[in-house]
Amino acid sequence: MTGTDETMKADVFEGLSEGQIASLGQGVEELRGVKGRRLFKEGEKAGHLWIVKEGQVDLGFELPGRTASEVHTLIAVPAGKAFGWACFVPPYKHLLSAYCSSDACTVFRLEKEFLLGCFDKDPAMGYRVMANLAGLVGERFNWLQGSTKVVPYARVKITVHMATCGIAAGAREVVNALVDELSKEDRPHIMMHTSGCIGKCKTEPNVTVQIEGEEPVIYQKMNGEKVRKVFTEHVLKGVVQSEWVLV
Amino acid sequence: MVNLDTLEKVEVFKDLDDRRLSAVAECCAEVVFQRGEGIFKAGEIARHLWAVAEGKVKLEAEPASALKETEVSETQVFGWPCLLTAPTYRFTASCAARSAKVIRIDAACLRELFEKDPELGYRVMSGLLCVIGNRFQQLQEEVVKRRGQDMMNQW
Repeated sequence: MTGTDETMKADVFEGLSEGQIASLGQGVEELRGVKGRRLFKEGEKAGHLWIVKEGQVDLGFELPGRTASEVHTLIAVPAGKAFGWACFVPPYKHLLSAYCSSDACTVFRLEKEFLLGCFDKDPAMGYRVMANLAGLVGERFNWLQGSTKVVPYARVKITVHMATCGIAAGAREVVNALVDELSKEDRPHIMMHTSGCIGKCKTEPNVTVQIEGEEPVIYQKMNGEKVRKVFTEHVLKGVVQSEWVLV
Repeated sequence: MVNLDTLEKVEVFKDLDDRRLSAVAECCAEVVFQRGEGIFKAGEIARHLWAVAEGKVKLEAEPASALKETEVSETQVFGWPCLLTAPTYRFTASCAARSAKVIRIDAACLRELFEKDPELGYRVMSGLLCVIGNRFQQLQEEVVKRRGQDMMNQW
């Protein structure tokens, strides 16, 4: 068992009172893992609702004879989001496997029976949680349904090179523009990072776009406007913006 | 007002007592559609939950979507975005039988009932989670199948 403050931050518990959160806190179990740790496997009985406290968890399908790192991710679950809703949906089995995908991750889990007991005692809590869960699954449905229209299922890593030279050349403006674009819609498959200089100080700010399964593309002399174009055309539609590519 | 016998067969209203069913019935109306007739279009604001009482309804998404088409049969519900935070229909619904009798349920009226009677809200939203979950599983299978095919092609 652990404190309830972190539990309260989960999207599925939005709208609950402090008292309701406190009663749920009685059933919280915390688990820690490192990258690659499997939390559950597809086909296993789903007996818990899970919440990411820190880090990221990937949900994907497994390939026979392949290692955990080769599990193919369908959905990336960031901190504050729940997964494992199959515990409330017949046949109560996980259809995907869950793995820690960040260097370290901390997750909460609550037993389904414990939750149902709480909901029976307090139907108002049950109503809120089920409505939130329905919203969460609906949101994921829409994302998965639409994900084939852009970059098909691929994970994207955007790196802004931010050493002193990059910052002096305007890398902060580039980061701000990317954060703005990312905040417009829930896109858990796109991750932004910052890193040091790549030894091309004259072409800073440099930005690397790496789409899963493709060669990384380094863009040079980026600014807010250019990086927004790279985001909408390359990251979302897969069209490389050749005029700014560092050769 | 919809007959309670019809309403109690709807997947999300199963096991409700007559008092609760009567309250829900106040939010409902029966509508009959002929083959090919449109019920709602993708992109429209979702104001109603729908249930098939007789016949069949076809749901179609944009051609680029993973799950392009699905069918809804008697006792099943569709149009569930109306009870979520972003209430926009994602599919276009039309009558897929010679005629279909459909129950149209006012989402705002339902929400009001849920606030007054949280146990009703809990039961219906639990049922709706199963409906959305099953639809999600259907979509997921389609996506996994497609992705598996892509990978086989790469090999």
